[in-house]
Amino acid sequence: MALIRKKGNRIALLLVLATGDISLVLAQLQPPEISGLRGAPFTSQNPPPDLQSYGEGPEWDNRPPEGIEPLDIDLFTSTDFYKDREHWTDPRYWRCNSPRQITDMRSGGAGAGTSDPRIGSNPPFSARWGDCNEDWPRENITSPYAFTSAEDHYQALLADAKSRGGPTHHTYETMPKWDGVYREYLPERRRVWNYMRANQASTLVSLLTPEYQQRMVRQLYHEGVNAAHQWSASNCWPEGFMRQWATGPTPDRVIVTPQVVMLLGSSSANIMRTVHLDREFPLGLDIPQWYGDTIGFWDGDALITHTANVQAWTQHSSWEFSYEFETVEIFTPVNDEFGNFLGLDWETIIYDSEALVAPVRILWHRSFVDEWKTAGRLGFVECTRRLYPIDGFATQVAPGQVIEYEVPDMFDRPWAKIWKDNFEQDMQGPDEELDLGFE
Amino acid sequence: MKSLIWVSNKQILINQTCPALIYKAGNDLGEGDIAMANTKTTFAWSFFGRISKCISIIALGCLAIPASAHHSYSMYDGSVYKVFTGVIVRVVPNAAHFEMHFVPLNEERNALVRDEDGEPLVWVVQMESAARATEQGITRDSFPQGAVMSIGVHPRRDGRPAGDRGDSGLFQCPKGISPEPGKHCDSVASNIAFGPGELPTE
Repeated sequence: MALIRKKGNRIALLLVLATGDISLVLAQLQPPEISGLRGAPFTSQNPPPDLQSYGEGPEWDNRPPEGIEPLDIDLFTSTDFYKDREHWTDPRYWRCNSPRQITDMRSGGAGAGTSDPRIGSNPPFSARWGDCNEDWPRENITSPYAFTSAEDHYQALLADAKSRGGPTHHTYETMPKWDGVYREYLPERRRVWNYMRANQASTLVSLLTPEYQQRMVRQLYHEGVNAAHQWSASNCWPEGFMRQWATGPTPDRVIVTPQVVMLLGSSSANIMRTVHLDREFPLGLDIPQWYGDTIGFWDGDALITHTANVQAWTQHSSWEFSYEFETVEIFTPVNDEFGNFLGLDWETIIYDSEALVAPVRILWHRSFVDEWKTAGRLGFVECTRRLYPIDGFATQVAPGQVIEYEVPDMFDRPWAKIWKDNFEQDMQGPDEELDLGFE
Repeated sequence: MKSLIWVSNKQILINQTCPALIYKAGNDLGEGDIAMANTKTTFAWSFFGRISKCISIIALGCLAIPASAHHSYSMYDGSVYKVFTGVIVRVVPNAAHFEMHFVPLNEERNALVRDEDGEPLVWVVQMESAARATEQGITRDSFPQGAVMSIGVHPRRDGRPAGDRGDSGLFQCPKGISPEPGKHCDSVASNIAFGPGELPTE
């Protein structure tokens, strides 16, 4: 029988309390471990710190850290990144920057400008370096569990629950009282790795299969070198499933009933996920859904889910995912030492055999902040477009202005088409010409 | 006619525009309330008193369910069919209206029809919802790029290369086989039919 490790070191917690520190540091992000199935601890701090710039200010333009020998060619000097595959997993190819640092080479982050852009005075060659000594361990990103498919993982979790008399069938009286509003838990403003701030770009590229490596490199090149970001919200495109683990429409509201658990949210777009309890796939016709189909069960007060049938898509500054994408997600409540509900630990194991060389894991925490009865309204937004791709750049267009606009193929990676048509004329990219088998 | 709901004393006729709606109405009214009289369009209510409830459900459903038609078909000439045999470029599984994009083959069935610039001339056929298409087996997997198929289309009145499927049959040729000159996939042995209907007459 699997061993259950009770979480929390009570003595340590009391010591922290005695010194006046906040108890939350020990409570969150340590879900109960069931060996080999869920709750495996991390080998280093989670969430990790952001990777830092090696030096700030113009004097650091294209100036490598001491002791670092630059490559002859890197992302910011290359004329054809497709030819540089041998360097993609070398941190120096990215000047030791994280993906997000590359994305923000000309800005102060999403929605913020800067008077001292890290791209430097002679873009793109003057791009600044990150700290080559910083990188969150890759072993913390790859799944610590032995499963190669979400189905196998989910069935093993279900079998484990059954071995202990589960799964639990809650009534309105017994079901966990999670209803309410949540926000991201940000200890020292650290975010989970999928924000693309904690790792060398090379480390994250190494998690991907060759085709998906190329896709991520392509995105980072056009964001960092050309400033041709194709973010979904800019184009009124759907955000996609993985956007939940970023700053887009994250599910920050929960409704629990004995039959379903609803995960809802609304910001730049809307998100609605329904966990169908004690059901099996398929839940409907074989049509990919933007947030997939989700089934789940209760194991005591833990909610365990399996999501499949997800629309393949992208996430800006990050990796694309395929139609093979599936997840296992485990939600466990966190209480303080007095039994007060703090929020939910949310462990996600991502399986995508087409895009990933190994399953990956994200563990984050959603802090409970309010009940529905006192919270502000949950809005519903519709994207009204303000930006259009002109010459490959997201561009504001005033009403009445006439522009040339190529209709995208929304289910064939429209972002890639924009880059190909506008920036890759002299590159040896993939052959994406239409071949129907007839002259 | 698309989107028509006709009500008599004891019958409601619904065409294929609202398949999801029919399912919901059936669920809501309970087993026995609706007897399916025709697999395509006709349903009879056993209790006249339930009709007003059904109408309300249907009306709400047509407004609320994205799978139902939600834009005018007035741009299509419903009195005309053009029948094509062409090569699939892509299928677009939009929730509201599934689309097939194809390039017609010439009369000899050995080359693509091209526009005045020499580029393949892509036609867009609008269909019912992705759910309806999937029920008929029409998916990305069953219609990969390069598949040869035949379909009838109510063309746009303005002559642009698009139309709606209407009640046309849809036939796919076996992989690697094209019809004889002037013929369509329904004439090829081992063709696959997707959904009901025959190829219409032009």
